[in-house]
Amino acid sequence: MLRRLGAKLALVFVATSLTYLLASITLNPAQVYLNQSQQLSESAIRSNLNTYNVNPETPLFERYWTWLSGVAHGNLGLIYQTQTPISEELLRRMGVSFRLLVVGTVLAVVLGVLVGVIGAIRQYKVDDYVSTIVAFVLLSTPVFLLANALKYGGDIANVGFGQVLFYSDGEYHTGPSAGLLERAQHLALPTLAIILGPAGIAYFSRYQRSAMLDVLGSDFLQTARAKGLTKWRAFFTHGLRVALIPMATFFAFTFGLLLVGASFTERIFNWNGMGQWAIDAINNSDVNAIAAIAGVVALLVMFSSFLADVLHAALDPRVRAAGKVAV
Amino acid sequence: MALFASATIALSSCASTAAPQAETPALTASTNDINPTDRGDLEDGGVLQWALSASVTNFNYYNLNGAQVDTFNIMGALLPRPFHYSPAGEPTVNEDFYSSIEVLSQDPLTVAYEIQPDAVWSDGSAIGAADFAGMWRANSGNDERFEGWGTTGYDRISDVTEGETPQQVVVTFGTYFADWQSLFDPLIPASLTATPEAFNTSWAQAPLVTAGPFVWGGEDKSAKTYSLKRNPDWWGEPAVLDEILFRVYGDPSAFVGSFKTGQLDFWEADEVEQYQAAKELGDASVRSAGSPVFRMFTFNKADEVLSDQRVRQAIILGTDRVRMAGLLAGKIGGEARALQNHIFMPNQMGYAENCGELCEYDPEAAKALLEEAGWSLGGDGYFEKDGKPLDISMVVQSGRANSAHEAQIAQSSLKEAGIKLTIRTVPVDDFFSKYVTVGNFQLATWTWNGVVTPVAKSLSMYTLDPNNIQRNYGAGGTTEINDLLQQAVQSHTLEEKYDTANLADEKIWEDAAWLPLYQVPQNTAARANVANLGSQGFADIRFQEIGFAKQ
Repeated sequence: MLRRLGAKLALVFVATSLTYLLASITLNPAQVYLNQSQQLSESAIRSNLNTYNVNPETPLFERYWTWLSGVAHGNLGLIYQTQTPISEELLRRMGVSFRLLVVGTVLAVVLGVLVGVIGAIRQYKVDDYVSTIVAFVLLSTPVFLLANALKYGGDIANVGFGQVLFYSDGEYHTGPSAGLLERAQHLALPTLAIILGPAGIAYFSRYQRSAMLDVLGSDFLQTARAKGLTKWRAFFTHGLRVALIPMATFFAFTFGLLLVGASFTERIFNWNGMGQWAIDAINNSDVNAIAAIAGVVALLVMFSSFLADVLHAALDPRVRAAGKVAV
Repeated sequence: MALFASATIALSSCASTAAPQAETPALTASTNDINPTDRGDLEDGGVLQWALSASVTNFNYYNLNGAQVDTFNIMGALLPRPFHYSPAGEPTVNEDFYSSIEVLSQDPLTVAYEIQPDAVWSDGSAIGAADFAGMWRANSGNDERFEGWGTTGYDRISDVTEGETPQQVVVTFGTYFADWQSLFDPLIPASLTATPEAFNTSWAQAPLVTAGPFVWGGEDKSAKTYSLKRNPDWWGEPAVLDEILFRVYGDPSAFVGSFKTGQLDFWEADEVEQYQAAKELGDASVRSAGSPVFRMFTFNKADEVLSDQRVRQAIILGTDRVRMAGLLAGKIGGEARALQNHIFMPNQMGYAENCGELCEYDPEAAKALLEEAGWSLGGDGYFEKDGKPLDISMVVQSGRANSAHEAQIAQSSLKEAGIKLTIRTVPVDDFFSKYVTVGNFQLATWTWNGVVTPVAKSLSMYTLDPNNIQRNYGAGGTTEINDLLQQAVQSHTLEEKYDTANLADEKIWEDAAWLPLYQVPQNTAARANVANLGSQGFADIRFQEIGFAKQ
């Protein structure tokens, strides 16, 4: 078990290092200072690049080593140009992404499973066809289109009711001490965007439907019925649980990667979470921030796979019986 | 990216306040668009929400990382500016901070700043010579540990001393500097320039010591907002607003939605999409004025074909700039008018048309010039010489619609003149570093801004000096132009300065190594009752006068 943890940590290390090196090679942080309008002192630019350890005159592996020793001491560096520690920003951004995405994701999973199960049970009935068509329409709608359509819808609703019900900008408008109602008004539209988006209900329901269909035709369910269980009882006590097993990995990664955000949703609704930061960091050639974000993603992938194993064990008695929760 | 558009608005204009009014030449009539309203007609209080397009990276505007237009705008409410400016860029002393600013002597140039006795920093310390001396030291470029960007002018100061009273500061220049009004604008406190460390980092998160109608009200890092609150200790006319709240937006398409839910009152609408969206709003107004920003083609005189003045002039004559202005400035409310001066903007004092024979699109005249230069029209409709076609390339930045459109319009209008233009699109990051600054181009187009102190600023653009190319990337210009520009910068009266600068501009037209295209309009959108704020022209923002008109 320790050996597998070690291997996974090594993967995290390799992924983050490669991102750092790739970003260092391809990005040119000095570009933010190069402009036709001002003559800037080269020494000032150089010394700024040194402050953030992104001076291309320093050999790449020397920069990498400086960065690596910093990381080893818990120092992820500073956000380019701002003197702000990356670690501080990282926590704040993860908090914002979490608050934006958690409700939408939970609802998307729960509703997606329900729709999938119903679709499987009522295969080839009218409602199955309807949910299938709707799911494919949603799956093929780009999230920026959907988000903007929702903003538009919110606007119409606000005008129709003669007062502002839905906000499409940020987490709150009064201040960080804003109450639950105000936050809900801000959260409603982005949450809908997540639920209806390509990684929402439609996505989960399709997977759940096929997983459920596999189970429905299985011998053990027939046996359960033969033993006198009602159709619904058999479905929910035996069928659903088994159908959820292949989905466990899926959910684990969905929740594990929750914190790294949804770039489009964050940008369109102006929430300053991880996704928005990733875009800004790339635009601003912020090598250290990009590496930090990649590192967080790698760690979360590792955590997700651990979570998947746990979920798998919880749902599948055979794994528990074997007595080992693999890590 | 808005970096360094900056100094533009900062380093405004160029009149000498010491010069008697009679010497001021007739000004080009000019207005801006700010919904001017008396404070008596404004609601007392209120919060104005103002959109920024990027976070502030350092609140010390003079630090390399602080040189952003947004930072300058915020600082205008928090720090002393020596002059107010009219929409055409005419300065008057800012009496909130200075009872007078006078030139004591022209040789050596000596300027006395008389500080208002009431004017104090937010930490209670008096504003005085120490602040001026500290700024001079930090910006002079003598100590490289100060990571600044704006040494222009400060490097010519020889001494800063306290005058007869602690309220008087006397600045002496070693060499004459005509644009001395652009210095100490805004003034920063001595604590910020005390050490390189303080200068580079102490204001990275917040402005610590200020003096103005507003005070720093804090930052919300999650929401990315900056707050300025009315300064209770302000000695001038109190600010009308209770608060100005700056909101940072990653995506400008969010402005309109945010306005509709009452989260935004004022924003830039310079992009076509934003301009049109704002136009459609019922209770907002789009405010337009000429901006200091303009577009210009740069020729590379070092190129073999373009080394011939007649070829360059033919390209100028063959480029339909009016059509370009109509399409590109026109779509955001600008006039279909070509820019006919390399130094001044049409709504700025000093503007004159010096383009001579080159003012208008004239493909026939272009053809005549080329024939004179030994080129002959080939069967394909393009000129050729010694079997080589006249094929000029223009480098443009990828993803910049304006550059691409300008190049395409030039391409089609030059075709009429028998000149082939090939468009070479290169990555934004490489445009300056791999093409423009190293002279790897024939023609290039990009945005010019930062020339509001137009005469002194034009030195770095049009001076020909092979040992110091500065921003003259195409090696244009002549020694005659150099001399005229130097002379203009040294002039002691406004009239002489503008006359000489316009003479230089005439020679720059003749040299034909640059082609100004059109002035870019500035568009801002505001809730209809927002008063005393909008598209400022060359005028400064009077923060204490901003408010909401009574309904």
